[in-house]
Amino acid sequence: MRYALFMAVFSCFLTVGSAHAEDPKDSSRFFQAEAGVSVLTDSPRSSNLATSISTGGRIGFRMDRWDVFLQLINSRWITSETEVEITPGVMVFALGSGYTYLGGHARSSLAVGTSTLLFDTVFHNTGQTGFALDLRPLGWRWNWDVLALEFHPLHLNLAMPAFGPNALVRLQYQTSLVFEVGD
Amino acid sequence: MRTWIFVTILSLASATAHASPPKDTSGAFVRSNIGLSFISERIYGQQRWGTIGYGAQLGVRGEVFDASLLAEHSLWPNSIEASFPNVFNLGLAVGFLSAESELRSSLAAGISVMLFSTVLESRGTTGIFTDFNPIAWRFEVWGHTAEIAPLAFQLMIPSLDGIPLVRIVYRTMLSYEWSL
Repeated sequence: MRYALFMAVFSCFLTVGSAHAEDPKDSSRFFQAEAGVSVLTDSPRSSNLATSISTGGRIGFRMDRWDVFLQLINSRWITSETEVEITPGVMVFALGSGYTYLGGHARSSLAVGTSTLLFDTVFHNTGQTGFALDLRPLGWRWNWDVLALEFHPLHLNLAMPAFGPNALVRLQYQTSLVFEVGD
Repeated sequence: MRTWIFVTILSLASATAHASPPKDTSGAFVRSNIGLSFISERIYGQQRWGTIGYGAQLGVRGEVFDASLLAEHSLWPNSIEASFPNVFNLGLAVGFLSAESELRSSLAAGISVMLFSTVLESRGTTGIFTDFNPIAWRFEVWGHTAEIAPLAFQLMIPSLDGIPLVRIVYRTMLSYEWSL
């Protein structure tokens, strides 16, 4: 509930600021740094077992509205089975593409790549590598000269570092804030 | 499978979202909504169905903000017991337009009435609900305004006493709005 309230207030705050945003440039290289949290992912099942904190970066190239990028993101998984512990989680390496529209105010993106487990579990070893997908259907974007800010209130994040009978699947609803520096 | 249906809908929405900007929608309006949760129950690979919600809103909009009365019937299909528990939600909603009226955010809250009985609660038990739609595309279709919210959050607690009956879903919302 507090999470929803936070997103509501923060969304309104950022949206009001969008009146001062500018259109993106025609073409440019860009670097992004981002932080994200997943808090209520497990709430459909009324548990708190899939909370996570993500940090990472992207490097990419934008041409008009389209962009392509490489991203490296560390998603740290917070476990609470016996005690609250922040595990190293997974490292996600992905190639993606984004589309900026509505006068530069909105951006959608999709990235697909690999996720590598960074810690041992009962059934899995560090280094096991599988699939990753990051779908950001719609987020706000504000541009100020070479700087930009993006806020994705809800996006889907799938990490599947292990396949087979003991598949390790982590599907999360995440909220992320992205800072961008471009040419 | 449902995930890919979801992705396809999002892709189509993305492709059409900025094709036809909505015209001026200030004034009174009525809208119909349908909300489907495709993957809320997929967090741990479970095969339970999500929820299906449909309803209507009647409201008024200024240049940016809108307020409306919202009614929704929410079905909670249970594939294990082959039953359809359902609730009726009635509340007030406020919305906010941004990006030259091509994006909308909204928040709704009100009462949620059980239309089924459980071991602990009887039909008619009333609790609360809240619905948060952080961001949605708006565009003109057939002379009126369509709206797609790719991911919205809904919390329903139709029974607050004893062991609360809580249902939280992440869903995709489709709406069609008529100006009056």
